[in-house]
Amino acid sequence: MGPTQWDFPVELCCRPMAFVTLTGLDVVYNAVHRAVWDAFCANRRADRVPISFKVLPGDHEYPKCRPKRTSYEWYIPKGILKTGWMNKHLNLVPALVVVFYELDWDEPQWKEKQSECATRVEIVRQSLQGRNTKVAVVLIQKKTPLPPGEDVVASERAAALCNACELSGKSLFVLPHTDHLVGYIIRLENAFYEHAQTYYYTEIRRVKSHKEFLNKTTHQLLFVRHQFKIAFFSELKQDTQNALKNYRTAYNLVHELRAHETNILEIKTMAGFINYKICRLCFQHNTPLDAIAQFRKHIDLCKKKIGSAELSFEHAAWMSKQFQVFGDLFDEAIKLGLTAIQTQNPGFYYQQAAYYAQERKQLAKTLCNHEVSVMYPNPDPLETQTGVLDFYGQRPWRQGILSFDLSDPEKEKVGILAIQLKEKNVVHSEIIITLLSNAVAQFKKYKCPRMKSHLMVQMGEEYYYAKDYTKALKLLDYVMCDYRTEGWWMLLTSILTTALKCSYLMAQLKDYITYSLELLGRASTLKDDQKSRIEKNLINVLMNESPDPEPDCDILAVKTAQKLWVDRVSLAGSNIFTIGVQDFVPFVQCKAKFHAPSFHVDVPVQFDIYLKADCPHPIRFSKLCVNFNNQVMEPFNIS
Amino acid sequence: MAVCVAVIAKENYPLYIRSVPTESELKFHYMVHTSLDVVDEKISAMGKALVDQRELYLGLLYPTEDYKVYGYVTNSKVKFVMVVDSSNTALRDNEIRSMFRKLHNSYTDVMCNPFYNPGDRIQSRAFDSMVTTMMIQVC
Repeated sequence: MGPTQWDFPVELCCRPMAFVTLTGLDVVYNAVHRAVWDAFCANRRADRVPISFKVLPGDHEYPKCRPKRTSYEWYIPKGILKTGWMNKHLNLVPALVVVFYELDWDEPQWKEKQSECATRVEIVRQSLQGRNTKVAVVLIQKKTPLPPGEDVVASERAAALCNACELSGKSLFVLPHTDHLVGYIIRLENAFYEHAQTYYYTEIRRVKSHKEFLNKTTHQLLFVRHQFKIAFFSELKQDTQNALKNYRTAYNLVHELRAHETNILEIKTMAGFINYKICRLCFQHNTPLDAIAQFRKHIDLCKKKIGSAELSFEHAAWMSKQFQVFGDLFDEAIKLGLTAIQTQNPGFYYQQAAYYAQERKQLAKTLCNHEVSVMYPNPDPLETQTGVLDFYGQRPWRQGILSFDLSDPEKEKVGILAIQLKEKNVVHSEIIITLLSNAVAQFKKYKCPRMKSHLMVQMGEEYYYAKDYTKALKLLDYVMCDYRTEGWWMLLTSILTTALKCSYLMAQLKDYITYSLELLGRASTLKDDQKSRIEKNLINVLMNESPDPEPDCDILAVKTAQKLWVDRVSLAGSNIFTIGVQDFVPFVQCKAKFHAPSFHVDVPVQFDIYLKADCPHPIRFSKLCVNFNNQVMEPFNIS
Repeated sequence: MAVCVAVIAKENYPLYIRSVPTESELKFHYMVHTSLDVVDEKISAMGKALVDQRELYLGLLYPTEDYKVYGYVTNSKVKFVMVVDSSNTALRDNEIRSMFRKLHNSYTDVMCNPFYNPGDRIQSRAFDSMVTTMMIQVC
C-alpha cells in the first residue's frame, strides 16, 4: 500500500535537523574529497551534532526567496500552511553553505587562488539570492598547521582571504588533510552547528517581526502559520522547549479559527499535525503524561468536528489516524525506555484506531453505495495542476478559496462524488486488521489475555467480512476455548455463529458438524428457533444433503458455497466423522453409573448410562458404544 | 447511573449481567470480560494483605472512549463490575462506591436464600429490581 491521503507527511514525522550544504567537493573523482565527505556522513551516532549534510555544486540554485512584503494591509492568506514549506527548510534551503577549497598558506600563486576562492564564494552568495543563509569557507590543506600565532604568513593571508571573500574570521576554517581527519571533521561540524543555530535564530526573529503588521480579522490564518514556523525553526535549532511552547500556542490558535464545513478539514489536518508535534516533543522530554493529556484534549476538541455529512467517513479516517500515530509515538517512546502499564499502553490507541477504521468502513458502505453505472467524474476534480495541493487539508477543486459560501455548488457535488468513489475502492478490512494486530501485540505484552482474545475475535470477524474464511476460522478457533473454559456462553455463542458461517461458506463438513453440535447444546444462548434451524441443517448434512445457508451471509459467497456443497455431497462415501467432544459442550450430555461400588467375581457388572439431548428436536442414535478407559477392561468394550 | 452491571463468579464466569440498551448486550459482555484482566492484576497486586483491612472497591479499571469501567471484589473473590457512560460526569467515586455497596448487600441477600445454589446464575427478582434502580432508564 502506498501512502494514503491520511498518512502524515514524512517531513512532519522526522526529527528536524539543521541543514548544511557542502560545495566544492568532488566526491566522485577526488579521493581526498571523498574521504572528507565520508568522515562527515559515516557513523553519525547520537553523540554527533544533529546536522543533515548534502553535497551540492557551487552554482546550485536554491529556492527563490520571495520579495519582502512591505505591507500586509491588502494581503489575504489563502491557507494555513503550504505543503512544501517543511520540506523546503529541511532539505532545500540550507542554514549554512560551506565552500571547500584546496589552498595551503605557502601557495606560490596565492593572489590568483585567493581571487578564485572569492569568486566561488560570490557565486554561492548570488545563488542564495538574499536569504539569510550563512556562508563559510574551509581550506583543505596538505600540511599540518603550526600552532596559532606562530605562522605569521598564515595569519596575514587568512585576514586577506577573509577580506576578499567578505567573511568574518569565524567563518574561515582550515582542514589539514592528515591522519586525524575525523577529529578535525568533528570540530568543524561543531562550528557549523553554531552557525546554523544563529541562522535559525535569525529566521525565528524574522517571522516574529511580521507579527506587528497582522490584524486579527483578516490574518487569523497567518497567526497559526507564523506560530508553526517559529516552532519548526526552534526544532531545527534543537531548542525543543521553545518549540513545544510555540506548538502549544499554535495549537490553541488553530482552534480559534472560524470553522465552517468548507475549511474544517484544513483545520483538523493542521490540528492533527501540531498535536503530533506536541505529543512527540512531550515524549522526547520524558513527560508522557503531558503527551497523553494533550492527546485527550485534542480528541475531545476534534471528536465532534465531523464536517460534511456526505464525507463523514473522512472524519472517521482522520480520527483513526490520530489514534494510530499516537500509538506509534507511545510505542516508540517505550522502545527508548519508557515504561507503560496494563491500563495505559499503546494497545488502547491502536484498538481505538481500529474502532474508527471500522466506523469508517460502515460509513463508507452507506455513503458510497453508488450504482455501478455512476462514472468517475472527468475531468478529475481531485487532480491539481501541479499534482499536489498548495495548502495542507484543502479541497483540490477549490484551493485557496476562503469564502464559506460555495461559489460553485455543481463543482462541489462532483468533488464529493469523486471522493466517495475513491473511498469505495479502499480496502478497509486490511486497514482494520493491521490495526487490530498491532493492538494484539501490545496487549500480549501488558498481561491482558482477555483483551487480546477479544481483539482476535474482531480480527477473525473482519477476515470473515473480507471473505478470507480460512484465516477467520483459524483465529476464531484459537480463541474459542478461552471463552469456553471461562464459561462466557453468550460470547462463545457469538463466536461459534461466525465460525459456523465460515465453515458453511467453505463447505467444511467436519467443522460445520462440530460447531453445530455445540450451538445446539446447553452452552449456546441461541433462541430455540435458531437451534431448530441448525438442527435441521445438521440432519440434512447427516442425510447427505446440502444444508440451508446461514442467515446474513453474502449472497455471492452463498452461491459459491452451494456449489461446493453439491460437490461434497456427490462425493459421499466417507461420511463417518469421529468428533471428540471432550473439549467442548455438545448437545448430548452423557453420564454412566455403576450399580454398586464393587462387584464379586463371576457376577455380571451392571451399570446405567444416561443420555440427555439438549437440542429442540428429537434425534435418533444408531449405535451406542461403551469404552472403558482402564486398560484391563478394554476387551469388554461394548458396541 | 450505570449502563451495565455484572456479577462475576470467583472462577470468572458471569453470574449476572444486565445492560441497557439491550441491542449492545454483546459489546458489554466483551467489555466486562476484558475488564477482568485488570481485576486479576489488581487482586494479585493486593497480595496477602490482611483480609479484613482489604479495600473491596477497586476503582476505575479502565476508561474507554465512551465508557468508564469500575470494579469491586468481595472477600470470597466474587467480582462486581459496573460500566458508566463517560459523559456522565455527575457520578463521583463516592457514588460509585455506594452503588457497589448496595450491590454487595443485595448479593449477600441472594446468597442467604436457602434455595439459591452458590455458583448458579442469579435469578432473584429482588436483586433484579435493585439493579434496575441503579441503571439508566431508557424511555
